[in-house]
Amino acid sequence: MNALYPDGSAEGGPTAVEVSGLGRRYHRGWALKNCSFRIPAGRICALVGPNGAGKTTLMSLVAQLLAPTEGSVRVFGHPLGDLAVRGRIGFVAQDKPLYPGFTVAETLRLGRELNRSWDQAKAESVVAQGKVPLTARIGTLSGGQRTRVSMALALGAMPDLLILDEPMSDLDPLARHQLMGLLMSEAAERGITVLMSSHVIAELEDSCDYLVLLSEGGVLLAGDIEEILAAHQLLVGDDGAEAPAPDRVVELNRTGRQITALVRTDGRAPAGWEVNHPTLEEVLLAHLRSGAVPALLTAEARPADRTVAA
Amino acid sequence: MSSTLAPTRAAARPSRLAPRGIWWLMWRQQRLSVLLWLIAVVAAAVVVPFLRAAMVDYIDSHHIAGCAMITLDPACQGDGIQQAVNGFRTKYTPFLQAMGLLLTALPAGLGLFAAGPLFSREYESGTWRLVLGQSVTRTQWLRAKLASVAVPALLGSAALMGLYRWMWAPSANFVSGVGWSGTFFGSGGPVLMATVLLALAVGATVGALVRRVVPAMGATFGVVLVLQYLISEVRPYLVPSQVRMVPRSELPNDVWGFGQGFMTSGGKRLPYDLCDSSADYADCLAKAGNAREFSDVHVAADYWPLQGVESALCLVLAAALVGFLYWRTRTAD
Repeated sequence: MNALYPDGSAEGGPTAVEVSGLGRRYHRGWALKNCSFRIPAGRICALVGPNGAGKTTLMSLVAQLLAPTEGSVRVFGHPLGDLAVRGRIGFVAQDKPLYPGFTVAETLRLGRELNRSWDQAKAESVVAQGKVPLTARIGTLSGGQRTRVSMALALGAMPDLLILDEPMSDLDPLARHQLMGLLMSEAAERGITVLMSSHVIAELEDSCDYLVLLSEGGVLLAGDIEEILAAHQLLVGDDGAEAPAPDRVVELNRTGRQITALVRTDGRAPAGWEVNHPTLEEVLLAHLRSGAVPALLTAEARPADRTVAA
Repeated sequence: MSSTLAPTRAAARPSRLAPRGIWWLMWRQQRLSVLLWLIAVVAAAVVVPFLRAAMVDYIDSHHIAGCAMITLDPACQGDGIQQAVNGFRTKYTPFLQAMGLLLTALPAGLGLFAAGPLFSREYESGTWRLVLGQSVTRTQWLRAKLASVAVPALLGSAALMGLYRWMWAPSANFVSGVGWSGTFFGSGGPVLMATVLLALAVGATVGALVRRVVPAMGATFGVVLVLQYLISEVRPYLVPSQVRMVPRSELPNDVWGFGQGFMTSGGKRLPYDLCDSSADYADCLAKAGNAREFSDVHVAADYWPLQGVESALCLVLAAALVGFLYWRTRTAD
């Protein structure tokens, strides 16, 4: 799948999404600049970042709904615009656009008519699980029901890469749970790759095993969540402790004499500090607040250097 | 994989004629508009034969075929001919003029209602991302969208144009006073279809650029009217015209006079208001090189060349807009 690794042994297996030097400029400026990361196939990847970080832009670029200003996106090894990859990407936009005059059945038919592969039973079961009648007009549905129909449409098309922009934002906790369960079983059954954005970190921690953190249009963190956590330490100490190398410090807080520092691990325990394991939330928030540390991409999240490999 | 197709209403209708794929979506989105359009065309097709029959009957029973209000034609000098022509004009000319005006407004109307919202609604409501999120390329989508309005609009306007032409023919130029060069020109020939296509291209392009339904509709209407006005301004110069040394008011009904003035015996053109302020009109003209009044005209034989060139002009403009739309849809987002 990855042309650069003839034996198919790319770091972390075949590649679902590979983004390098990606940038997108709107009239008002750059929404995304110099983004590079890789998502191996079969991962459930959370795309995290504050509002305006470029999440929707990045997802639209990967879903081929936007053209990049610079850089490249490859999905399953195919460049943007390649017809071979079109039908393999499913995309549910944040506002869940659907035709309000269509019935649910007609909306599913749209999926059947416009896709090369279509699983009507799966699409209908997703809708039925939410007790949305097939004869109801989209315009009469609640936000949560519309989300469900959008998900039915996306899953019915049997994508290999499913991109979900804020999928859970208008769902109640039960529906959230159901839809996440559906996604997980789909991922387990068919081995699909999921890229979903959210700013509710707790929601993602349970279900995602991979992470891309965006801030102000750039990548701060990318990789396996366990690996990212293992790469950070939460140090607690006082003025007497040995100062960690400045380039390792993500964030440093001083409360009276006590100092708390979130740092990148360099394989040794610094003297005079109490070492703790940070939670995902602590790591993400520290990165968002500081923004000054160099981006951290785990080995499997680094895009292949094509110029060197060629 | 989908062997368990549930009996949805859609699936239970296996017809060979049923549209498939993206054409199903186009039909689903346009069916109401197409139905209304069909009703309008059918209504015209029902009414026009009655009107035409009544006109033909009137012309035959009053023996006024080919007679104008003021004419030297000996066949039209009989008793009551002038009154009969006058009666025809009072009774039937308003129908001819009304339908001509409606058809002249048709391009702007179709641009406004059919083409203006075509892309702007998809962009405004975000549904373009729904369609392009399926296995559909931008080019396929664009082509299908354009065809879904262009084909019904073209067929319907061709039918209306044919009906109007057919209704106009018995009283053409003379009896009704509705000459080939007036409202009839833009509504009774292929120019109508070409202008409709141009208006649709304008509406689609404006909608794809503006991306808001109401502004797109308004802008389309305005742009089409301005284009129609500009085209009507250049129309006389699209094919070579002739000069008649006759005042414009004395031209026969089947000649289109579009310019007038005075011409010296040497052939030099002088303005029409040349001697308006002069005390001695005849003297003024004599001093201006024996100037005589002339008219720039197109004769009836110029009808088809004018239709051809104007249609080609509209089609070239429409093609340029569609080309721009393709380029823009492929590159922009």
